[in-house]
Amino acid sequence: MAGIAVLLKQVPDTTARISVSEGRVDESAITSWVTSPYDEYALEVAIQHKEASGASITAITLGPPRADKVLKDAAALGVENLVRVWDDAWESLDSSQVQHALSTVLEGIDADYIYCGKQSADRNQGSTGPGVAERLGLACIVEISDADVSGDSPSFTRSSSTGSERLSPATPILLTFTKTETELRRPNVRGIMMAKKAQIEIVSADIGDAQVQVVSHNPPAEKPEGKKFEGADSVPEVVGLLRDEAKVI
Amino acid sequence: MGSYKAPLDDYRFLMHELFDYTDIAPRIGHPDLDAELLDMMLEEWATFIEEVWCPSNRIGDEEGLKFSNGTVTMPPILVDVWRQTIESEWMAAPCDEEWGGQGLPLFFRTACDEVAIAGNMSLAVIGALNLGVYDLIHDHGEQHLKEEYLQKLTTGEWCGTMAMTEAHCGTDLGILKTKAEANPDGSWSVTGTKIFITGGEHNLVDNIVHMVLARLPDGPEGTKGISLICVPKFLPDGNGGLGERNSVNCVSIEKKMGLHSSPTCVLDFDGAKGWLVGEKHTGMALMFEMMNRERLSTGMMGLGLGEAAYQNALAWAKERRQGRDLKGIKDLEQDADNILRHPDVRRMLLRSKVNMEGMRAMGLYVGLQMDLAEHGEGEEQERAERLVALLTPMVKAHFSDVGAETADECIQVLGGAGYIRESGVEQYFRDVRIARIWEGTNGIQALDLVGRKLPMQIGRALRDLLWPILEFIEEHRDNPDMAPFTKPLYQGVRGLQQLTLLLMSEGMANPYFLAAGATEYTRYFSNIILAWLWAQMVLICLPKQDESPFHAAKIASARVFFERIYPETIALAAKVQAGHRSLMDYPVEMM
Repeated sequence: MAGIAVLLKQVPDTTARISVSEGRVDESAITSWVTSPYDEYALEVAIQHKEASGASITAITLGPPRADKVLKDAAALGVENLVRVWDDAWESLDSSQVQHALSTVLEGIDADYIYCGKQSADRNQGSTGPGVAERLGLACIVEISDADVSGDSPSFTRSSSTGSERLSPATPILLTFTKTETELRRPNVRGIMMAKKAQIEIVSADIGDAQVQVVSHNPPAEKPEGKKFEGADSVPEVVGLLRDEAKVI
Repeated sequence: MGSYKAPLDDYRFLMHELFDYTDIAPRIGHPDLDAELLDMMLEEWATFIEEVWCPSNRIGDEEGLKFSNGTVTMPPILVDVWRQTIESEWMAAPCDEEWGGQGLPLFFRTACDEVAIAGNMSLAVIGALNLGVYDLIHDHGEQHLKEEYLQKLTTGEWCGTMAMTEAHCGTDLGILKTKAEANPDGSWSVTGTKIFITGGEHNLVDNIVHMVLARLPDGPEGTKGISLICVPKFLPDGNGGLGERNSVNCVSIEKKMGLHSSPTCVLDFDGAKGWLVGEKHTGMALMFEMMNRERLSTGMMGLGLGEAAYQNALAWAKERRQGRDLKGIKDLEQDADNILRHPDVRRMLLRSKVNMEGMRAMGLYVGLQMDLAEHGEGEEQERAERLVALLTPMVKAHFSDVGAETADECIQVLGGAGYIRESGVEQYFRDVRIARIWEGTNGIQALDLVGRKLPMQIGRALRDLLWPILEFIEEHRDNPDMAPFTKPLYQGVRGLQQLTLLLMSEGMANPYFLAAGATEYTRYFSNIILAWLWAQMVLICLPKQDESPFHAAKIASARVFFERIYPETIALAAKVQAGHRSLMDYPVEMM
């Protein structure tokens, strides 16, 4: 079969402190970046698919040099081809431009299956997968929750209003993944050492015109401080609050 | 509670700024292991420990071990964690590539040790023993032993133990009774009972390889007649699998203060088949090779668990409100101010933090010397060998003492909550306590330092260490920013020289004098090395303190060390100088 492509996005660690400065998220203040969690499930299925079929995987990310880490992490798990899409002239791309750039790069890659997360952990728009499929003229199945890629005819499961559907799509196809039951593998030491030597191809791409401008960015409202109740005497009050205020009992 | 994050920022500072690993790497046989890869490896190890090992720590402690019919069943979560550890190949990291390892440097292993111990000391101990057995067979085993065991030990599929102690002999192994008799096929039959065997029996793996000290029929009395025999639980089948069950059985396991998921076994060897490792009657020397490595790992136990206790105490302190700031109410909207407003709480937490930071620097320094001792050349290699010998008892004793004191202090920060199991801190206190005892009690370490290591090559190792310290002081004598650090360091070094002279001269005439002051001398000496490392860290951080909160905090930590910890050297010196009389003249019948 032809290859597998997997789209990976680097996002702030979910525990990272996000600060907003002059109406923009201050990325320089974010100290910890990770692969977007849903993309990790897409990557896991891609690796399983590779192990079963022998196809090669191309991992693609769009971002500045710090985004190399998600590609190196993928290489540590066994991904052979690493592509980072970037141009130093780019500043803040809207989702349309991201889709444009990724689809341009994917046109040059012979991939039967394109995998990605259903949405990123930072913006949560869920637009990249369907948008890229649209631009490539491919069918797109979203919210895959299970995959059987062990045989010649891979099948995928997604939730539906009547339960779940098992699908066997024609290729080429783009699939977006939600959390699956599969345990995500961890890199082993050998993989990490190999990843250090892995080469990353850096490419620019046409991004088209921006469709949306971010006017300003405001941080979420501060959460109210929690309440502490100590001692057995406070039990009736807690029960009352749980029943009347939180309405959970 | 019971959470932990590996101190990666501190390790990056130590590896890249204090010790400049890039400069050292080619001299220790690792020219390809650059800073970026090193960071990546340590980050991945930390993630693995935080996500896989840490959650098993409390569960393992609560569930404990089950012993029935000679078998030990570990908490299921630990079996699963060990399986994941084998799959991740982390156990193989420091082993030779020839046997499936990655050949990573020993100083990296030192850093990994701290993180693993903080994650789950019961598992970390098994890993450390594995590598000790690997080293012994690798360096001294015959080829068939290497082929049968090394690959399995490298991966962690088989585990190793050190079987020395018997019911009547712990420290004094010269009187051990376990014997080994020759078999016609070149193997030996081992008979005897060993106690306190960590990891002697369990279901983490299929096979356990015991390094047993035993006396051969022609072995002379005392420690010079002891040999080292490799005795597996299952005999290898020659194809990498398991053969016949050997006649070594677990008779019982101990119920202990801490390390509830680490089996401490009584093992009965009933003519168990084994193979000699090294030459006949060299068992003690070989076992000391393994033990020296284990002593460094044991020191790191104090650091790892002390750090974990500190992190949890700090997290508690940040949330806890009690009393009011002595200079006036700080938070009017609350019933009480945060306890970090109280100087005594800060004293406890900052002593803990600074002790851990200093020990981390010293641990890594010794790790680098181990690499230079193994891979260096010429005078640099010989010097590193002497330094490792000199520093090993200090790392073992000082780190484990301070680690236990830190865990104790951190319970104090939590007050009554610290004494409750749910806090998690009390487990660190129970677990770390053994580090002061095993691999040679800390009293034995002190005797090793003053009795063996100081006189070594007529004090050559001492000169190796002190001369660079004095050169450093001289070099920065005119730097006013360094004066608060170099002046007390100079006084301490002069004091150390005087104490050493006193101990050696008085000790020659009266061994009681030497032995009575050994523990305090060891702690004094450790403080000098820490002070030297702190002064070096300050020198690096001074130009960066305005831009970098991390570097500014390092200088603040150094001030805490020199003002709140280092002055104990004055009292320690007084105790060494007092000699032995108040101890040895005290009437035994009145004790």
